[in-house]
Amino acid sequence: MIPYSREVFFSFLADYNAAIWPAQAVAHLLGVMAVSLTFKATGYNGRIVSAIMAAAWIWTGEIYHLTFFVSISFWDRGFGTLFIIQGLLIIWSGVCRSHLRFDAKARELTGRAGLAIVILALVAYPLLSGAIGYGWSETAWFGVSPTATVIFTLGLLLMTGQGRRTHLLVIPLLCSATGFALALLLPLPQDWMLLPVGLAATILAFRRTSRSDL
Amino acid sequence: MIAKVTKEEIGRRRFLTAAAGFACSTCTAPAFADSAFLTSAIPSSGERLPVIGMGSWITFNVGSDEKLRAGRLEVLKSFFTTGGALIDSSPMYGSSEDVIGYCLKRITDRQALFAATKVWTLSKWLGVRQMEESERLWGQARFDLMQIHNLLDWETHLETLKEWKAGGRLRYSGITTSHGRRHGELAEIISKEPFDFVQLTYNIADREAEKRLLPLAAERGIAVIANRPFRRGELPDRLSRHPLPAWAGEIDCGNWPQFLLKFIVSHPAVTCAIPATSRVEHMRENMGACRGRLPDAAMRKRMISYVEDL
Repeated sequence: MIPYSREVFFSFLADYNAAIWPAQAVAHLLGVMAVSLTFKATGYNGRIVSAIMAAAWIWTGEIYHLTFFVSISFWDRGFGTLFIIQGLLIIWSGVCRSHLRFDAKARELTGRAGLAIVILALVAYPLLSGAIGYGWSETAWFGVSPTATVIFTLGLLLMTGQGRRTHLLVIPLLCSATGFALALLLPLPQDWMLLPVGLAATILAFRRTSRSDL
Repeated sequence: MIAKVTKEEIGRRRFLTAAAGFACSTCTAPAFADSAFLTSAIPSSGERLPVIGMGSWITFNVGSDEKLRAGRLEVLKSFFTTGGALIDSSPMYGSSEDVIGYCLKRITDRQALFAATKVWTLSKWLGVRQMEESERLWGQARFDLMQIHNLLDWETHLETLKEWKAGGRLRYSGITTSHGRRHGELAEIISKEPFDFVQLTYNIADREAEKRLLPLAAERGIAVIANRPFRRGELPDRLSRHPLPAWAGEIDCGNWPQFLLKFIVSHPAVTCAIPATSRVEHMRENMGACRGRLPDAAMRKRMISYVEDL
């Protein structure tokens, strides 16, 4: 039920990247800044990282899904709405209530895996797009497109050092499942990582939640 | 000038030409360029349509990419030059309606156009707005056929379609389903409501409609548009690994797509099939199914068992 072809998807992605330039560069720099702030886990830094993450979700929902891709796919109306809801949830939990503290130096497996997943979104994912044969103009970047934003968020949420964040995992995990299905059908090999990342995040988040319940 | 022949006449003629057909049963590239063009009647009016139309799911959803639009323009030109008429789309198909409108504006020789789209939303107000938007996108003052897409809010839209038909704003009304879904509900609807067309999934591998919907449509005098004739390309892809049987020459099929399409349009209740393509050569192949002989009941059984055995 995907109403466009792979050829059209990449044509649209190239048009989108050209239209929003240099937003992807700014988003990428903000992503790097967010990661660097996780090395000093304070409430203030948690607010900034949350704001960056929320901005990425809201931009992707409003601009990528509801402004651009909605013209070729009815699904993007739903995804755009979900992305905006996720952005608002992150603002509420991370910015307004300061409930999110990200700790890249956490020694536990979950925190390390989270950092690895974040680096995957910022570095490996765009490089993989190039390796598969697509240029920078046809690359989906963190902060302005869904896959990298979902992977980045799953990684960051695994790095939160305190409490349960299950409500913030629901939409990213749903998006990783639907995104993987889309990646299989089109196909988009660079997006196949959504499945292992989603599964790993689910297992690790459940493991951490169980422990914090004890 | 295209000589038009009815499916019913072809049925009679094929017995007369059977001997010749059997005589060249080893032919795989039939020469029937000058043979009659197959049309089928819309039961509610008697108006005739070519047995092959054109779908636009995925293939015409190319956004504003000029290169891709130029490619679709060539496909549509080929459709009209080979005798095509019915083009089917939907607001659900992304930018397809916009792209069809873009192409139609650039084709002068399109008098045969039979414009068919769908309404796919909730409520009367949104439905009317959507249909008006479709008219604008296609550049059509009125549609030949407006169908209620996948039964969505069908009772509401049916009232609008009746009003539009009565006011001369629409020629025919229809209702659709796809992927073989909700056949029971569709049967109930068409058994009591005055639709001119029904659109459903029917192909050599998906024949559920033969049990109830196709006989019911024939009984009620409703034209049938068969969608997903190739199961989105899966059937020709799978069958292309095997040689076309020599006896396909008896029904003037030169390739697998024609074999699959002739199976569909030879069902007595089917008015036309709507394959979608983004390639000119495939359009020509598809439209080739509008020519030559059609299979009879015995041949249709043979076609089914051959495909099932592959």
